[in-house]
Amino acid sequence: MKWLKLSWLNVIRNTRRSLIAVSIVALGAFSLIIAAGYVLASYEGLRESTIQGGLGHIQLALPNAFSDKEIDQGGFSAIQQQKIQQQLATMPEVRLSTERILFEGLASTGDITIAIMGRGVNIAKEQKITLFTPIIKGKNLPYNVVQDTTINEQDIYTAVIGDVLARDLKVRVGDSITLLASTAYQGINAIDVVVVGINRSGIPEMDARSVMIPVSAAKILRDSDSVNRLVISLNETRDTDKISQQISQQINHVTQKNWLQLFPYYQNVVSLYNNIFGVMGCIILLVVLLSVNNTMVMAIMERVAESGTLRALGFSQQRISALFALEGFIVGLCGILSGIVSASLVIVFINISQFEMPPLPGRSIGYPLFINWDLPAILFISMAMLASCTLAAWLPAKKMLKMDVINAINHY
Amino acid sequence: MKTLIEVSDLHKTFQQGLETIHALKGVNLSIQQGEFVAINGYSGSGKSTLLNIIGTLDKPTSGEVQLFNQSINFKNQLELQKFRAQKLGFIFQNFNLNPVLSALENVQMPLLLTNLSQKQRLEKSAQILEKVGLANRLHHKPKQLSGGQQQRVAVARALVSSPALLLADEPTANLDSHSALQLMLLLKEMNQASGLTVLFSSHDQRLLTHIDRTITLNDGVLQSSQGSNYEVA
Repeated sequence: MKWLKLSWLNVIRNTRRSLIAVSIVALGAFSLIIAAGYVLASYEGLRESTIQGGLGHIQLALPNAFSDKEIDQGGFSAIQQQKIQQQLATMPEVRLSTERILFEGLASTGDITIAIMGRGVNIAKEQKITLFTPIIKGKNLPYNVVQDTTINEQDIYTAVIGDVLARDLKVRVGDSITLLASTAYQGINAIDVVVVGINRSGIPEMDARSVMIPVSAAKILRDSDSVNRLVISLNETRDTDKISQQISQQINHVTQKNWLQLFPYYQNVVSLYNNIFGVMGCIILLVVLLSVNNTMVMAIMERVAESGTLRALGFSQQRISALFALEGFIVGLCGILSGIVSASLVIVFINISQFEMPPLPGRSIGYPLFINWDLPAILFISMAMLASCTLAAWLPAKKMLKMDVINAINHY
Repeated sequence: MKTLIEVSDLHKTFQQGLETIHALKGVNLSIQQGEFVAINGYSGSGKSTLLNIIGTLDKPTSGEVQLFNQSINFKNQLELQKFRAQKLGFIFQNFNLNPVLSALENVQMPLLLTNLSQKQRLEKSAQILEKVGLANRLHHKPKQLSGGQQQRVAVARALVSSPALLLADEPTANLDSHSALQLMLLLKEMNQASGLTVLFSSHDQRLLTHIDRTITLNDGVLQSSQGSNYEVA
């Protein structure tokens, strides 16, 4: 405590200079916290929008179905599907699991035919995991709220298609289109469906190919009762590995892929952002280090005689350099606390304001600006800043203390 | 009386460019416990160098220094620091007080190296400031004190850790004649009251009338040592 008080008094002996140093540290901490919060919010946004955009946390298929198209033509029988879903339902971390039939084929109005990627879905569950693919015209696929199934036979032959596909096919809500796809037994089948809604995922390539029909319609189209995907949505993304492990142990004859394996682009984005943020962080830390170093060099050079006196009084060089380092630490601490407080206020303001950001590359819709207040990131930034400030004070002090005691005492 | 300082054949040379300066040329000196000694001499005579070596702040080129019957090893900095903190007190020409600390806090500085509690440190510092006549200036910063008062704070700081030897390099150089005389009387009083050994350098002849013994240095050579218990080689 006695050393802390002594260092504090030395810090405030030149208030203006110390304030400038504190401001630089505060600005550095503020910038890093905001940048880290933005990057982390972007990671989270990208991750959750992808997962909640229909990917789910984990997808199950028959063994090798992810790599073998022929195997993927088959799928889980109704009994297998029911058994697996019952097992999944016992896991408290699992929010829901839903069946899905994926198929590729053609959509035609008669005049225009376009290749599509189709999904047969249980819409009652599907709409809970496709929050980021809103219906922009018409309505969603019809379903019975009580039974979670389609209401009647007429409702089976309905579809929701992507907005770009609707534009390209020149269809509107209420129009009929023909879907053509290969069956599970390598035949060809076609069904007519009524477009009841148009959706938009924000990814133009997806919206140009996306067709969503009830799972019962997909079964008719593929002439098979099997479903080739079971999509699992969890309450928390962090439980993905845990559930994945449980599935491996408890459910036989399935292969699984988690969201990261299904969406490798995420890791590329994270790596890119990490590199950018890492370089930016290093530059800011360097600026802070040089600024604090400059301040401390000035302070130290003004106090050479004082240091010499302390050495004459019996203070060790280590003790004196530690006192200077403590001053750097105090400057750093004041700056960091100011930076954290100001950054927190700005984060709260931005998050409340919900500013709309322009669409990201490859997307067609904007997103609300959100910045994370991430404690581990703030702690890491604070530690790095404190270490830089302490080092910036300790290094010149150590160098100064190499001076002869006599010369130091008489240094004016 | 015990011998407190024993200097034998002390040499000190400095390199200034291509020139070698012989600051001390074979000085032999012995000072007894409780003596009040002044080192006199013109500027550049080597008195500060001698004082610095005795104070273990500088090391000799050759020769031996014994303090408290102990030969000083000038290579062991850690031991020297401990030795200075425990046995020696210093007063400097420019007072060398910390401008951000009050008189009381400045005096406390050497006690920070001890295990005394804050209360004990404050009490001891206040007592010593009272002794040097600054009882009503405890919380004044150096800037708020006169030169004489600042030097009294420096004296209090030098004495607070109860050293056996007080070393002062030109302590009156920045003081007016009245303050200088007051300081001399204060040091003399401390010397007589507690048996503190005082060794200081000065070229002010007026002050030397109050001294038990005066050592005169000229061009690094000890020329005379006037007073009782002196020894000149």
